[in-house]
Amino acid sequence: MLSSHMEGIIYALSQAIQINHFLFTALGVVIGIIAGAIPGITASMAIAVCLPLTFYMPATSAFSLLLGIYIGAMAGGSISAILINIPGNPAAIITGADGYPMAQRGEAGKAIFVAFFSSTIGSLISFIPLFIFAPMLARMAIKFQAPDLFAIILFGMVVVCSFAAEASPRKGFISALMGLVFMTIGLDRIESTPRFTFGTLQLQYGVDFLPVMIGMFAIPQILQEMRAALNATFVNKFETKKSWLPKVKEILIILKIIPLASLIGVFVGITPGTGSAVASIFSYHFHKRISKHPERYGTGIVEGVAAAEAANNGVTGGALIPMLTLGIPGDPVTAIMLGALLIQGLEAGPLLFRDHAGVVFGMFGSFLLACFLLFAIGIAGISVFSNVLKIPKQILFPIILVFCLIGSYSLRNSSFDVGVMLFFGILGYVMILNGYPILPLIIALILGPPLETHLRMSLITSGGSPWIFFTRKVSLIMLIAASLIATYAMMSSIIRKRER
Amino acid sequence: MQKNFVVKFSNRYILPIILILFSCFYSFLSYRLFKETSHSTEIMGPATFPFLISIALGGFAFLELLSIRKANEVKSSQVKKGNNEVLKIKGHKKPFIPPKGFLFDILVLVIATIYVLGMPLIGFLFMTIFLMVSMMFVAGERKIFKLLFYSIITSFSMYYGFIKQLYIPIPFLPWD
Repeated sequence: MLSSHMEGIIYALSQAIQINHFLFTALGVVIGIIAGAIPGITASMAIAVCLPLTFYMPATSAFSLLLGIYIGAMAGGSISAILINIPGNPAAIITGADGYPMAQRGEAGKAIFVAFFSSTIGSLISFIPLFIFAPMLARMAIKFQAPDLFAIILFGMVVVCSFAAEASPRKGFISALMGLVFMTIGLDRIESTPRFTFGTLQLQYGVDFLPVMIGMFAIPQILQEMRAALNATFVNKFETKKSWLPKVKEILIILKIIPLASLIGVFVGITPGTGSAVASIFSYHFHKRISKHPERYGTGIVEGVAAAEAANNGVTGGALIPMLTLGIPGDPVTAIMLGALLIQGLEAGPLLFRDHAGVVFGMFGSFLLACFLLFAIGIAGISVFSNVLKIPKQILFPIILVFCLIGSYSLRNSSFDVGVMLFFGILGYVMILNGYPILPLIIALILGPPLETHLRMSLITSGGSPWIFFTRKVSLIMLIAASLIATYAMMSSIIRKRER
Repeated sequence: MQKNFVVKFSNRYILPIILILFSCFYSFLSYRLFKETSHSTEIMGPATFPFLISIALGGFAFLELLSIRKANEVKSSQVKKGNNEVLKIKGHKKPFIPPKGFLFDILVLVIATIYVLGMPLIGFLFMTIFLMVSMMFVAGERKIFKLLFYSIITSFSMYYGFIKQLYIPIPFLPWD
């Protein structure tokens, strides 16, 4: 393991400036901004569709591309929010509140400049806790044993289930349990006993999460967007009558807002099951509340754009901390990133920092590079990126569907995986229709195998006694915390229903 | 209005009932696996974890069913009182009814299934052109030039990217 942070940052930077990593990061940022700018294409969908491309790349290059997409998409969502008042992705849900009135006044260029500037600083600020705390947390987590790891994974899953479905945590738990059901298909990890394979050879390998992720994230979205394409066309209103650059006074104002907004993003990002939309909404309303002129929010001021955009990009670094150190993804994007690590033969968790420190610090370097490229590419290509809104959806989404089908096929060069992708696409569609969140299912599919393994290993160690989970500090705290969160979520859901 | 509401609302039972039946089937399979692996010396064999999941899934699905029933009773009493406005404003969860354009979704999924089944036989090129043309057509594109132009461009771009650059052995033509 790289002993000091200084060595780490030097290694990270040396990785980032390698030409192939640089190009993949830049490509990722471009794809991310374009995907983010198109309403209907979320960061998770863009990453899921591009994931098959990373099979053939070294780990650092793969993560250069994926992190570029992640950071690019978070900022890219602001383009459509500002120009047409439709957020490109949930992260930009509140950006249009001030961005769109600015665009209507002919200040679209300035609004986009502020959005990208705030996003860049937000990502950079979120890099600091990622870089400092992730290795420290990993060093602590390396001492954890099977009961602790079981309790931590269970805690992460409970948090995601409790908050993934706004109306009913019960639906979140059902979704996760369904994911665990699908996880049990295939060879058992400890004894290699075939489970629920019905004599089928393909099922012995289990349900791979890649077609599941592509199917569940992309298919329902494609269906929804294509249906919407039947009677909707976007009108691109990229007009800027005034200077793109904010005044010095405005820059000073947003520089005061960005650090706090970014930290809000970091804390929200660290909390599993929340996401960038929560961060931007919370930050926007928080800054509105503490402002001397709250009445000006919503009328088209740079503060509103900065508060939302710095927070949603602040989430990026925060969300990577529990994912990398404990293997707990907090949102769909980090769940896919965790899958990308598995594709590369790496397992997230404390051992990743010890055994593959080069990959981790290479990722940090790509993250840092993506932040700078975001601003450079975003500002240089404002007018180009705003034109992606003109691409007709009836052409764009069939192309994405072909990508999904071929991407699933490329996993094992088998039509079986394409069938799996379609099956989970339909399942995801039915679940969304009925208000069941899909994120817990995917997280359960990824975290299910270590959850079961650590549970069984713990019971082997203790001779079958479940008391082992209550005699260790970490596992006890995590189990109590998980129970409290689950109870709180269930109770508050019941109280909300009664109030209605 | 009332009849329509009750008919729609009752559809919400379908998914929890399917889940309960599924959990019963899954626990049966787990039990069978438990018997098959009874030789396992491990304290918690390969069947125990699935069995626990099946019980939890069944339990949560049952709770969901109960909550729908309870909500149904409350809403029905409100309907009887003629308090329809309350329903509209305070709302209830989305019932499982086909949304507008449900047939459109089915059509898209059927086209995708034909693509999956047809690709090993007819090859990537013709099936991708078929998929693109039919998807664009159902999404409202009617200009033949655009339909063919984008389909052919996409097919050859994908061919270049996936087959030539990434060496994915997809059958490109029917005789490949």
